[in-house]
Amino acid sequence: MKLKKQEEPEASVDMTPMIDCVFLLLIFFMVCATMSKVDQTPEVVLPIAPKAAIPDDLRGRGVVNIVPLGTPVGGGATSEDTPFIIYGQVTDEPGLVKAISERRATEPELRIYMRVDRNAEFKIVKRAIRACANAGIFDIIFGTFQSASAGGGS
Amino acid sequence: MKLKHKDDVKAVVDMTPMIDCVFLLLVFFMVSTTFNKQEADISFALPGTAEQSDSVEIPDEQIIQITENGNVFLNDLEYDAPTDSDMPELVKTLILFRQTADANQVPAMITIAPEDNVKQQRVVDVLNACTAAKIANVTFAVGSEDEEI
Repeated sequence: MKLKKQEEPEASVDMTPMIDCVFLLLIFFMVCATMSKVDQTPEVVLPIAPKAAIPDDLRGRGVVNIVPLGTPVGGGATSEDTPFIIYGQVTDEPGLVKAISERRATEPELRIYMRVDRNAEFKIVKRAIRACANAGIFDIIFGTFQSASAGGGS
Repeated sequence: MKLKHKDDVKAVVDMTPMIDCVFLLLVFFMVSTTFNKQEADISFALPGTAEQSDSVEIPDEQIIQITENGNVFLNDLEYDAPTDSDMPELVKTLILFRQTADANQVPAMITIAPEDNVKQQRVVDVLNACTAAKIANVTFAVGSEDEEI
């Protein structure tokens, strides 16, 4: 009797749909990562405000970072004279006014997004607000977290 | 003469290294996006300038003072403990204030006047209370020599 030779079916998995899917996810996360890129100073620990709203539109924002006095950051340490941080560089009040005015010349709808550390004192914030007013900006936003827990805000 | 049969070379691309690479990138971007905690907005506006000829509605304005220790005063009355960040009493009063202003059809306005050494968290607590009471017109008294800008 002739034994039927058992055919071994070649185990081939079609990977095309999976690769399509993975590419899509990859692009999605890449875009997410670049969109959330703003001028952030990692030393800033934002205060908590449960009623704050997560914004949809992040365009037209100039960021000013403020940390408690004396905190060392990338571009040097903050001091009484130079308490503000823009793009990692410490600056003083005239420098801040100049930076905001220059940016406002190209973006008339500019709003100032202040990332102020929860332990920073109001006198520094006050100077920053005054600098904004001198540069002609009246729309100011404080950055906050909605909850104290780590991970995405709810 | 026997012609050599030309072999058809099957075009096979080995995709395994590419998929490895793509997976690695995918995982990297996934992790890096979740690391960032989402930031939320709490906004206020500085009083702008009004034209002299404009008729201006006189808003109903209240001033909230914050002392160095975190005590919060509205009309010289103290609200909530300095450690209480939710400020239920202040929110209740602010809601009443807004309702009164709404009934009189004038804008409800809050000016926050913190002392110099007040921590930002306390200022944001008060802003948070204003947001909870749905008061949109919030500003700061920041002028030197008692001058408001």
